[in-house]
Amino acid sequence: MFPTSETKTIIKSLNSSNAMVSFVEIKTDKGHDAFLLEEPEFHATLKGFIQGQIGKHEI
Amino acid sequence: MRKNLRKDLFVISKLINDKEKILDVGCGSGNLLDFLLKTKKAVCRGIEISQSGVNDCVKKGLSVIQGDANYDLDDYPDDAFSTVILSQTIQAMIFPDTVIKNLIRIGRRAIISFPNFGYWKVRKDLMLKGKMPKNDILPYEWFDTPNIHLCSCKDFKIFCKNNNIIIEKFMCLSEKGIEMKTNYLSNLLAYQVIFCVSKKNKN
Repeated sequence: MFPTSETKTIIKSLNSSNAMVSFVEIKTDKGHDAFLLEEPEFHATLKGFIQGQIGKHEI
Repeated sequence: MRKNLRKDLFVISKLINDKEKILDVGCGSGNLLDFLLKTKKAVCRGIEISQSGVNDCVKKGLSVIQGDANYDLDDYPDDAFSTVILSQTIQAMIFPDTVIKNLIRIGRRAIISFPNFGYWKVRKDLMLKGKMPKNDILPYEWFDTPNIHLCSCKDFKIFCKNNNIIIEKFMCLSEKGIEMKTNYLSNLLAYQVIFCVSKKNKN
């Protein structure tokens, strides 16, 4: 498991190398299994990301 | 698509060339980046402080990071972008001087827009009413405003001069968002201003 601080370190490195990267922190009270549970904000973001990528790459 | 775009952002979009590499600092819901991606085929990235803004951007397929421009611009390498945009945000920065220096370090040029505190109606509010000015782009009360570093067009020009920053272009907008001619009265007549700046001694 990676805390957000470590994810941010990865983001910093990716940014430094000019990578196309998105990052959003979603607050939840459901702990580390939140991504398996009903978390509308997370689902909306993920859905948007996937749809955006499909549109971008014309999949 | 254009109707979703704030008038000042549309004016900024006209300054962007095709296929430029853009960073929009404080990109909100990503309307400008989305517009530039579609109309100019620009390579777009953004940084936005609000989670809802980042979510909207990601939904549009944009590469946007949730972050604070006051602290997170240090991570970007020099000259990583052709243009860095900061629209209507500089006045809310904790360290506007550091942010501006970072913008022209990261980008070969920076486009910065802000409400002109030298505008005659702003001066009138303070002089005749004796109250903190309020208008469409400065809508807050003194106690809840995020705008902690307001400046006039003249202040910004002096800042650039003192910090060896080149003003490549300077534009004025009226209250209706219409471009106005610039002249010696711009500091009094411009509602919003747009500066295109870069660092000296670039290769």
